[in-house]
Amino acid sequence: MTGRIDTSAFLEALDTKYLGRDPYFLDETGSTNDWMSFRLTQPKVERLLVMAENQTMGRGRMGRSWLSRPGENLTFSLAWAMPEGLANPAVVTLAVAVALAEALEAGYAVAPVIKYPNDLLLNEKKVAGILTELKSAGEEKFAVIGVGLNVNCAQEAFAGDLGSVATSLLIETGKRATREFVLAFFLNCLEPALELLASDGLKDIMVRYRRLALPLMGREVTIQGAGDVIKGKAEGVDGHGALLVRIDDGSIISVSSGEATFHRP
Amino acid sequence: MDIGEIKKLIKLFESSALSELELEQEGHRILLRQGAVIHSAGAYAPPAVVSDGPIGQESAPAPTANPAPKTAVEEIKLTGHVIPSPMVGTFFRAPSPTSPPYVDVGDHVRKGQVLCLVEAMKLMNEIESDIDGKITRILQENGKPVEYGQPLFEISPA
Repeated sequence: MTGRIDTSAFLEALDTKYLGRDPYFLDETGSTNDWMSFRLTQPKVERLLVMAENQTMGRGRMGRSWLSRPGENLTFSLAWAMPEGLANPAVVTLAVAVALAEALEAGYAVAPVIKYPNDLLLNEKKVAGILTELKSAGEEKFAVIGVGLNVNCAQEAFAGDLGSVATSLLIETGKRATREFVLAFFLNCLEPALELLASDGLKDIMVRYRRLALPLMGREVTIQGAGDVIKGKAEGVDGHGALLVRIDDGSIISVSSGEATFHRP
Repeated sequence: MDIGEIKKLIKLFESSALSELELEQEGHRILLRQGAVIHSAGAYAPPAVVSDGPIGQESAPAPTANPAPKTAVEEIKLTGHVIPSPMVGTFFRAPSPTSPPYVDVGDHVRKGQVLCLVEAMKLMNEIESDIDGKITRILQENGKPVEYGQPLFEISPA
């Protein structure tokens, strides 16, 4: 079941008004986020979706890249015009994480957990990552949303230490998933989630987010990369999307930036 | 708030255990920092920023080249156009740790040119210049947290 994405199968399963209606399935590109960034001035850019079987310059946070497995995984990007009045643009990432987790939950009977802020775990291992970039085109701001999702790659795909921290839908369910459907199911969940965010629905998104992030709460957490290293106990996520950490002196601080490591009990 | 009051405030601040103090009053904003911040301060990140009053208004004394005292409260008058942070997050001067910075002091920038990234919740917000001009100061240190509205760059308009 490897090979290229079947566009008609994807469009058949797609139930959105605009998101992903104009898809580009490429064999290779530098980075799907860069591909999308060059097209932000195009009319109806929200309809665009770009997926590449292989990213030669794909990147995660701070230059790290997602594992490209041609014919097996999904690495793609889309663009969304930032609505005016969204006080904190960073919450877009949280809405994307919620939509992806809910799509996998409903479609594949798995139990995804969100590792704050936006990694998806299955059985404590990373199955998906999200990188959102906020870019301007003319007077408008766009979120360029990049997603890497391990769908059909086998355990052998993860060399060395990667095997202990990464997984795929195939590894967790024992079944190959149809990538066209995984992608469509996600977009079907994402469009209403983004629309909710645009119409003052952050509260609802955060309620759903907390449920998915809950399994890692109560754990010891270390946050690096945002100034000083912060250590404490993860207590929850506040209404603005910040992680609440109880530090040594008993006080609670909110952290919304940096790399969080949740330690296993 | 006049100079005398600011001086008093600095004295009080120096004798306190506080590492940071921010005060906003009648459109004037004062930020004082001391302690650990000084040690990590690079060429582009003054140990402390004191900005008082609307941009361009005569206020605190100009920065001096004196060696840093116990609490180096350097006072900077932001005379140019200021680019503030649009959100709480971490300030990055380059797109990745191995990339060169987007801009340096002395660079001429155009309106719409990306100056830095502010990251929060893994959303990388590209901050652009809203005018043509020359970068005169970079007011934050790479990889350090920034607050909403905190000045990031000072630009002398072209």
